[in-house]
Amino acid sequence: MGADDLVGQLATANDRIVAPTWHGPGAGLIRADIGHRTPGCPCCAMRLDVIDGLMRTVRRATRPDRVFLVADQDDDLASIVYSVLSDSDLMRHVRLDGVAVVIDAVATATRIAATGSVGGGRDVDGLALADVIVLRRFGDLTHGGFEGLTTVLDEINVVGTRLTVGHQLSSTAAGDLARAVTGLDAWNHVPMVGRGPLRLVSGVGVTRERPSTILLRQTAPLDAAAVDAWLDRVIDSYGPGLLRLQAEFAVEGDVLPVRCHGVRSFAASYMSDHASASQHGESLVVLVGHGLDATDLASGFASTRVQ
Amino acid sequence: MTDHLLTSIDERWRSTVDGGGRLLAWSTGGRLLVVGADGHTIVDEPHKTTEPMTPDPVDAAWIGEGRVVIADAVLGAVFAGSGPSENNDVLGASRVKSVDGHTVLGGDDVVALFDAARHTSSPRVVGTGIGPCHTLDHIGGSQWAVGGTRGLIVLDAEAGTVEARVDLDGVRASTAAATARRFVVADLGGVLHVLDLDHITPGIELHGSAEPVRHLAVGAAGDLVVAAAQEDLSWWRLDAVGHPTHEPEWVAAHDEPVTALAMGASDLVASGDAGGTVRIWSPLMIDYPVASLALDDEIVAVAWRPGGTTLAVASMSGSVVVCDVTAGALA
Repeated sequence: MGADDLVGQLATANDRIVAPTWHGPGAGLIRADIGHRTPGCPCCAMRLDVIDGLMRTVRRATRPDRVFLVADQDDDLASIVYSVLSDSDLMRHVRLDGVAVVIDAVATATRIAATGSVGGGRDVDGLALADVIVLRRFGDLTHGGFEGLTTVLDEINVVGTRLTVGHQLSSTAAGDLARAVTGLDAWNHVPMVGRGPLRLVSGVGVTRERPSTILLRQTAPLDAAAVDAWLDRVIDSYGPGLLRLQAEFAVEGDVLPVRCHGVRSFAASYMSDHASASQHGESLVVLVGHGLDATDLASGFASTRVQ
Repeated sequence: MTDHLLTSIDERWRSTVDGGGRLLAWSTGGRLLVVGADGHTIVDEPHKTTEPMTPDPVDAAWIGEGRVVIADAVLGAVFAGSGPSENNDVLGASRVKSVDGHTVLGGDDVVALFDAARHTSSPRVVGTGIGPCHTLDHIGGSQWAVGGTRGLIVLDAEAGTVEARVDLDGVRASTAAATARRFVVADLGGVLHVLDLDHITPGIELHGSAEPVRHLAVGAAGDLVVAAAQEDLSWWRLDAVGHPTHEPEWVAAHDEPVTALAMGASDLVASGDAGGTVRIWSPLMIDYPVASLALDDEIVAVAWRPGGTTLAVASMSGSVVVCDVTAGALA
């Protein structure tokens, strides 16, 4: 069971979930349609098939009010999220609510036992930025496999939750999963880092190969121009390796918080429509990516305070 | 003499297609096909409707005056109308056009060629090497230009051969002035490429748009190109070689992003936006629209009747308007 099967079963379990069918017979033969805004530039790789398919799904008389992306581990989830967030046509119609990655728990645990790693490149990137990691065949894991897998996933992903399923999705599990997915609103506020009360995870698992997660927080009101300048510097310095940027800024003079989300070289800020942590003067930033320098990011963020 | 200042719009009819509007296609003789987002159709008149014909229509065209073909992401090529309904699997079916009995459908790294004898049987399939098809234009005779993620090809549909190839990154919009042998494409980065159809090269690059160009139109003479990016229209006047004769003229044409664009007879340009406004523009005076029309939701398609002044418009909510646009005239 992969992402396609999972989405199909979720749609069966919950008639409020629409599983778009973008490809017909022979879909497995169709390759990802990857274009670049700048020829050859990996930071602006666009999944044109995702943009076109999603556009057709939402551009109709009755359109979905929430959008979740479900991908397999080897899909280039960072490129998919970049495409969805940065395409100007999609931005009018799609508010990204969450992303889920489906992995085979047994195969992944076996790979960890053999190599100490869940894989490289896009495999790890997708796991790092996911809001939900769906572990299929979880019940087949040995105790050692379970320990190894959860330890590595804890290091890679601190922003999401995990759900476990068997070989096939039971109706009960499908219902639980559907509720979990439809309850997500993860790309429109700062995620609950660590699956509970926020905890500081500065520099978790910092290696060039494995993405790290950094949480920045301050309670002083921020200067809007300084925040914009700092975000520009973050994109310039870390854009190519940035897998997820989410922030909520308590900006001086604004009653409601300013929110920001982004991936790679794209970031967008917008005024929140409801109150949250920053209404109490707290600003939060979560960054997931490769090569993040916690000291540099923390000092830059501190400099955005109103002087 | 023509003075577009006095241009008027007169509605012929207004209707609704179930599921939301998606595609408009005119036949050469003036028959209209409206395809909804869930496959419902309207043919010619508001009361002539059909049940859903395809699950995920992407493009549509008339074959002559009695038959239609719809490119569908799920089913491939779907033929309907007079004669039996048929469909042919074509991977990644995305663009379709039909001229003089030749129906060409662009798919994932392939083009499917249906001639008059093959509309209900297997097509000839030609590999393109340009990835998924995003644009398809008839450029005269048996020649077709096909744009894809990795470039552009010129295809001879009669011979089933690729005659020319140009590497371009992300061809997303195109427009052809076949008699003027001019072809213009927009890539993902927002650059326009002006190509001479008799000597296919990467062509002359036109820069200036910070936003990706999503919609293009060219006049029949090939000397006027209009490009839409976000809320703006840019007007490019080109010389015989394809170089701009002046700096492009930019107009903040809409309050919302432009979502549809088409150039008709007399070089009148129709543009539709995300707020449901349709505006008619004249190349004689580009600062202000010469006429406007309001629908209730984002415009998904505008299409001029070939050689005529009748305009069809469809919106995301399903509204369809057919109107006559009469260019003003001074004695």
